[in-house]
Amino acid sequence: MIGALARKLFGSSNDRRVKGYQSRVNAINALEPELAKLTDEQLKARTTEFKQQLADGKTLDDLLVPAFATVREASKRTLGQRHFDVQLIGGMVLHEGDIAEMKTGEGKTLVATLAVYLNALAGKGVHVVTVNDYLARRDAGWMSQIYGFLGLTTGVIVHGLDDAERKAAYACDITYGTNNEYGFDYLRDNMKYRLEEMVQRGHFFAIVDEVDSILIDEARTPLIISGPLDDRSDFYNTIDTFVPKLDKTDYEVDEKQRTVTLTEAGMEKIETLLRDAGQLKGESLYDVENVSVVHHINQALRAHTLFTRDKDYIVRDGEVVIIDEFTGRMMPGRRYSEGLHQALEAKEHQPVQPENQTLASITFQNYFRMYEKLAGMTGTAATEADELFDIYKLEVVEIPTNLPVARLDEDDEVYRTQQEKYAAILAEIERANSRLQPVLVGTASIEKSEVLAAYLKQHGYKQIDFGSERALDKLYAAARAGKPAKLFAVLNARFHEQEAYIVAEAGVPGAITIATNMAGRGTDIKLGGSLEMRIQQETAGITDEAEKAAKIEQIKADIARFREIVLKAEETVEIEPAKGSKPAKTVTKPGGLYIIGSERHESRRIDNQLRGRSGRQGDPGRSKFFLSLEDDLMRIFGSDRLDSMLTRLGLKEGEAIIHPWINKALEKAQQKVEARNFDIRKNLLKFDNVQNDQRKVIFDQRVELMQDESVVETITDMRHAFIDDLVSKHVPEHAYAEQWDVAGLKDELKRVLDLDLPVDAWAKEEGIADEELLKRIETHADERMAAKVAQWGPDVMRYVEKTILLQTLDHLWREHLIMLDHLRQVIGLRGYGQRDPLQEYKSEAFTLFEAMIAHLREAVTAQLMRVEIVPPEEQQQTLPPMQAHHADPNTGEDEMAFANVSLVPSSGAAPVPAEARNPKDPTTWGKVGRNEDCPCGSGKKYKHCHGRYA
Amino acid sequence: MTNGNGATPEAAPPPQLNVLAQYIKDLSFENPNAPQSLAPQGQPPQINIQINVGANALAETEYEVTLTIEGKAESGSQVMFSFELVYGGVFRLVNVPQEHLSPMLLIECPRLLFPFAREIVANSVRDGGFPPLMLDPVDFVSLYRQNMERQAAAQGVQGRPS
Repeated sequence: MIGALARKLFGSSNDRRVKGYQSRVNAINALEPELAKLTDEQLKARTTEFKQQLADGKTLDDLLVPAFATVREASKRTLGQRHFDVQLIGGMVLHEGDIAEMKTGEGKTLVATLAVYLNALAGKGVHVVTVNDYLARRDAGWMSQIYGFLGLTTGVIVHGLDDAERKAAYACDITYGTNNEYGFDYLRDNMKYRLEEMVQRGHFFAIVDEVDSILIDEARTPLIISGPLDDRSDFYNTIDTFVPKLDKTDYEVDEKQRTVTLTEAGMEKIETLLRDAGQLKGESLYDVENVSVVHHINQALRAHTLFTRDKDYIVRDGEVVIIDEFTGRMMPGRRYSEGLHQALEAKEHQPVQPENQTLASITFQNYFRMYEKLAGMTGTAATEADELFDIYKLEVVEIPTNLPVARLDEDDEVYRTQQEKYAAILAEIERANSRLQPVLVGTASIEKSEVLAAYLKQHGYKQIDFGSERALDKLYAAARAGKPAKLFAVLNARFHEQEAYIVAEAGVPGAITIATNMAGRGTDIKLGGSLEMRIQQETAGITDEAEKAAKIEQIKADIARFREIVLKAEETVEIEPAKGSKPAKTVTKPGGLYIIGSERHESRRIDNQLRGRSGRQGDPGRSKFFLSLEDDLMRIFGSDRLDSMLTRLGLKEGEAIIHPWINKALEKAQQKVEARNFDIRKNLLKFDNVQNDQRKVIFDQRVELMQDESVVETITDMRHAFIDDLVSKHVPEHAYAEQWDVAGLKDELKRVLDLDLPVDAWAKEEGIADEELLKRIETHADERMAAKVAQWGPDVMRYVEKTILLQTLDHLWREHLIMLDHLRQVIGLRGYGQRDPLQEYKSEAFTLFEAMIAHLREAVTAQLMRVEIVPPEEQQQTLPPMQAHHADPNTGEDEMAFANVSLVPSSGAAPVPAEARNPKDPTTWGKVGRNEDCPCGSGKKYKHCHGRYA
Repeated sequence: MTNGNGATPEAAPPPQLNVLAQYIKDLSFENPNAPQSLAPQGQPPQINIQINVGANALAETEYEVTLTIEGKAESGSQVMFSFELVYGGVFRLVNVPQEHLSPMLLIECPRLLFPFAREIVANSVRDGGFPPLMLDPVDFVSLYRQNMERQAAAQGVQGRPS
């Protein structure tokens, strides 16, 4: 109570913070008339002035006011858009490294320009992070007009660029790209062998668009780069032949836990079988040498006993395709890990695909925390403010809207069954459609959107086929005629470019759009439709300028008329009179875009996002959620009794309950789920932090090694440290000479250093101490190395040392990563022993790390001591074949795998779109017409250039 | 137009097909090794021809259909001639049921365009100094089937199973 009162009196902390910016906003406004008088050249020259001032010791904060004023003026001249005062505040929040929460349609893209420009002046590169390639390209193309005008360069990182192009883009003052691309480039960079090959140039400042989706939703799964392991397919096939020879009594299957273990008898049987076949090394199956045999047997056993064909997987075109256990859908391209998929392939006698191994991985949390300064913007972050602060130290500042929101958020309607809910949604769509109010129906998943689409189809609605170019013509025609078209569109975050168009047109009168929550983010829904989209779409083929202008005018008139219709699509509802009161009253509910939610999401943020699609920039709008007791959230958090109770209380079929209390209860449930998910993420992050600290050390070390002209010092230190270890192990301090393990020392020296030294003779010398021994061995080893340098020249030797060091480091690091993964899977068991698994993991991981470093010393020293250089030719190290993975946390599908699929029918002679052609690589051109301009950019026809017959 | 499958008497008005325009969209003829290649050759050249059709809507009832014919004649490794023709036509289709639309556009329309395209090819090759190349009749029905299959396969690659 007191808190609420205080808030009323003094304003919330957010209000106070926003107020604090006002003086600078006023200062910027005061500069406006002065700047308006400058010529374009003078305005551009301000960039150089600012840079000079920075060099003279001013800070970025000092330049904020004049720089923001300059960007605003440049934006007015290039885009014809002037930053509102609230947008200036947003820019300041971004500059301070916090999150600006701005409602949809408030122009986040434009807000970013302010902070981007200011920080780009420092010349260290500013990264703008978007959720998909389409938005990166769109925003960069749009905003580079401002930056270019002010003399700054802009680059875009999208899927499919080569290293040279990436490097050029990162070298720009400002770089746009997706979170995945930035993360993968970081990982790939740290797998390269030369500094010049690295594409990124540090992590100075990043502005993350849709920050909640990237830093929270996407951050649930890590980025992984994997490469094929050595081909073991034969081994899988060999092992597979043994398993059918086992009886039911030889193993125990636990259906519930989905595990299978060999019994004592089974072990003996398989041991005998393997020994007869000569597959067993040593005595027992469980000897250390046979670890991988055991692994293969376990997987083969699982494949045979726990997985059933056509239930868990199907075999199609020589491939084993997983069936999702929840949805029953095939998941092409997804594979079981740890060799299980290979075992299944062997079981089905299909070709066994090589295994993949993680070469590098990072979570988004850890990637983005590398930036010196991080900022973000989104429409919905307030509910997740705790998490963002906890993990990223980002505060959320709510920026007031330029115009007040005029959207009516109605109370939820709760039905008993899903069927009733869908019927109610259909009825609501029908009503809205009849008065031509555009409707956006939000669903929680792709499956649900398909269910709803099928339901609409059953009831006489037609799905718009976006295969044809003029897909929306019918909708426009119906809107002009003032009749509902009964057409609907479905989007599910797959084809971003096309979906941007569909979403942009979701505000056309009578439009019905079914969308999952993520679909088409970043694109505004303008009432009446989007002018830019329609001009782009409809005037594409028109070359005649006059005709084009006429068409544009026509579209403008069309949209203005449509907007009128949509605004007027209000609904007048009669309220049932309470008993004994006056006759029925009527209430008018606003027109504009009508958002219908078909389900509450686990997180309130996602619901708010859906609501926020309507009511942009003061436009009217409506939103309402339709729920049922069978929804996931209700099922989990409402009790079974709820249903029977409601029935007893007289909830009839087709009737809904509407009460603010229900909304509250739901919100509570959502909060609980949010908190739980946050805990899971936090826990994951704690484990990843351990790996991250080690990764940082290794990656920093690599960069240092690559920077160094010569690594001879490092190498020498390593050699000495190794010898030191060796001697102290075999010749303990303060031990008598009789206790020395001289023979062991001699063997080790021979094995690792390839040095045959008379250690035994030295040990017999009177009064020799361990230091003396150590010194002698070191001298001999150093002499050996010096001899090698003299033999091949220092340059060659430096090169060899560096190469061996880097390669060995990488190799051991990868093995270490696998070890850590395995460790993480079993460390939970320590909990049974009353120990904190995280602490245990930390200490075990540290031990492993130290062991790895020791191993590195030994391996590098050993290799260098016996290195023989054949011809000193320049060897180009090539990176191993790599694949990038990032599973979509919502659908579980691999986003990067999807990005590889082209939309063109895959016939051999398919034409390739011009932008997909790499001018330097004719293999990417696909079919080129003989009369076409040659894609190499020579300006000649193809038939006179690359396509010329000899 | 015949309506082969016995339409009921009170069926919709009969379908109509009009040709509104016909034109060469793109034509390339190359004779890279002339005049040496014009001399009588020992053995007949290897001739490869590829034909494809495509259609896109211009308006509600109007469609552009394109017939692409590419050919190359080689003698050993030497190219004798190579041509590429995109021949287009604009058709108006009225009262055609939706399910007949694409076979109509991709079978019937190319069939009407083919003789003209064939003549252009024959003339070009003759004007290039070779005996005129007489294209054999094309089975547009099987070409249509192939295209459909390929599309289905391509969708299978991209799409989710429904």
